[in-house]
Amino acid sequence: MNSLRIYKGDTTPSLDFNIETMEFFMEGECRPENVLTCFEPIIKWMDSYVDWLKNKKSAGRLNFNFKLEYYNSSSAKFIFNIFKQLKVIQSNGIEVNVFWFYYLLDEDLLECGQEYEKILGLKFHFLALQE
Amino acid sequence: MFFSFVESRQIHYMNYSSSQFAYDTHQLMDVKSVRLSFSGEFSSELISVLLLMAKKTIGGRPVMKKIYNVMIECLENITKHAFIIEGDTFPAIFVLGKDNDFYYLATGNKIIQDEIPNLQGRLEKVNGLDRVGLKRWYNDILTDDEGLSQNGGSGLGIIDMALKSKHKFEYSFQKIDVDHSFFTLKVKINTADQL
Repeated sequence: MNSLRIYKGDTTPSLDFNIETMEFFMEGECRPENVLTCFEPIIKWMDSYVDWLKNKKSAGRLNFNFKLEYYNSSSAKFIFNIFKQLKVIQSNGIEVNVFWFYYLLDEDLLECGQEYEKILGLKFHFLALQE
Repeated sequence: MFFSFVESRQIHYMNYSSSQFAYDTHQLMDVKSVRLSFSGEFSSELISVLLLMAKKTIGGRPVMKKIYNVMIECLENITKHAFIIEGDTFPAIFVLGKDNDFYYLATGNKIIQDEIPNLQGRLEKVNGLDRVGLKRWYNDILTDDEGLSQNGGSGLGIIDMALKSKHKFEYSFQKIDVDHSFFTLKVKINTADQL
């Protein structure tokens, strides 16, 4: 199992899912030309990671740092899918913490995070950035 | 009677000098406080350019963030999914303008007549729901196991736009021919939002 590293594109975010440190970062803007080609490898990687962790019977703590400034509506379902996989990881005995970054005045993004928290029952921490 | 009217209008347009057209368009755009507009064929490259131009025009004010978000959905609607006809080159239009208390984003594009009932139904539903209802509908779509539609749309776009705009949509369908209509959609954003 290797860490997942994807570099930022014009309309796609950068991803750094490090399996050694268990610090995951998703950063930038997400409005890909084709959502399927953008997310399929990520969802596939997450699937294998969920199984790998389970087979290793590892304990510990995973931090998911969500630093997207914007994602479009067609990406929303895929992002939700990533969170659902985090939920599975948590039910397999890993402590999952989501750090949701947003710019102080961006109430829309804050609200989105709060909705995810309500639906998923994962532990969310909201961190306001100064513009 | 009707035909003669159309004909005389076409002749009128043909004789219309292009400098007069440019002047009239300029005047109209001034009156309507248009900050940015494009009419023609939209592409994803063009979306990036328009977003950049909008950022420059509106500046770094907090409201720009909201405009930016709604603008992407508007532009994706007329380039990628939901509202467009595959391979059609009929020009679409995007306008970003400012009325006294709000910015508005307006789009217009050609759609197939048969799609009007479905689209109109969804727009009416959005306009009929309050914030709580919109959020519930959004979450229902978000959490169901349905995939994306063929054109890559999830159905979340217009709900997302309504949640961010906090205003009712204004829209119209103007008949082009037997099979097609021109669909316009106007979304408003308060200038004081997020300040």
